[in-house]
Amino acid sequence: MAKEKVPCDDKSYDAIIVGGGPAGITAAIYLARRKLCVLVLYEKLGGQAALTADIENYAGFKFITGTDFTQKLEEHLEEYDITNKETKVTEIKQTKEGFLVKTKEKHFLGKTVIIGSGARQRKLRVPGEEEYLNKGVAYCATCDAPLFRGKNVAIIGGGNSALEAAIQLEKYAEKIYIITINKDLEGEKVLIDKVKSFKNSEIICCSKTKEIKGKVFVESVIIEDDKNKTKEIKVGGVFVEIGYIPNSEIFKGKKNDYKEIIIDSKNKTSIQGIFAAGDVTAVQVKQIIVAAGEGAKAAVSCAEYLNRL
Amino acid sequence: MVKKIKVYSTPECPYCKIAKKFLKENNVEFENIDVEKDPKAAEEMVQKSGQMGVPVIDIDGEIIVGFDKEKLEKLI
Repeated sequence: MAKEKVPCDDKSYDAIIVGGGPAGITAAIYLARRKLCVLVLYEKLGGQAALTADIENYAGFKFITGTDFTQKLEEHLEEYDITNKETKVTEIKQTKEGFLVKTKEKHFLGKTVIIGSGARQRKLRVPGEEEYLNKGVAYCATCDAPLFRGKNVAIIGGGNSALEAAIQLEKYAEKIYIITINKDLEGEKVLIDKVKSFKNSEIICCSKTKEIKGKVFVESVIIEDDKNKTKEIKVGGVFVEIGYIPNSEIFKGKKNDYKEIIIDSKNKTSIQGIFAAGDVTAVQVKQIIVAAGEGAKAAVSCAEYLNRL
Repeated sequence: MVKKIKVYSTPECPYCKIAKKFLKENNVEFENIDVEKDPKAAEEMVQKSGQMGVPVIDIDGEIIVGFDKEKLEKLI
């Protein structure tokens, strides 16, 4: 398909999309198909999907790796006349005409903004976490699991991400401790059953992680149970999988207690002209397919809003 | 002079793929070392870089940890 040029007023885009994950890209495609002038600003194309090992729950794809999925997003984006830039948005400022979206290098004007900036991994914030980063402390089991061959490792967390990390590590680690503050594992039953069937995994419930200790590399993790009893577990690796924080700092409107952007059923935020989609919002399900759907919804709302301007 | 470049990587690591794609796009030749298949190379990588995260890129002895585009651009 030949790319059809969209006449674009360089001074002001119809929509500026913040984020290049499934939400942002889907929104961009929907708007481009309506012949609107779109700019996508992203830090990492694919967003969190790019860091996912295997995707097995996106309808139409029985199995696809995160990297291949990202490649497909990129190819789809390139089908259209969409301007995109790899950069970090630092501020969104409301102006008379619309919005000024600031990055370190340049400012852009848009009539509307769609925020699909996703989320980042939550840190433990315990002593030793920063010090031993990449020296046993890891956040990407997909990437680093093979480096923990023959070692005991602790996975902190009890949700889907922790379970997926356990699945990645099973092949390599001597022993896997899954340390959760909850009474039991939470997440998809398929994953829980799989992890519980591993001979080398042990689930430690009701425990907080207090400290990561070591010399050059990680040597142990200190945990405390719900009866305030502490225990030191010898491990050579600690994978932190305790959920995500929304990348919502740039949005000054209404957010919930988790700092997620509050949206209505049409993806409108509390600021007229700013829409939001995906993991940065209070939408309950944080999944690629949901983010994509939300991106489409935000785009349709945004187009309706532009029609009325 | 052509620089000797080694990329220590794991097969499913997204940043390893991004780094290798970047080198290919810049027509830079490199040797890919899969530390999943080669535990000895994994040890060598940890020793060289003093840490356990991938990718590690060795450019004539200069070590880059992770996909650091700016540093890579300077050294290739």
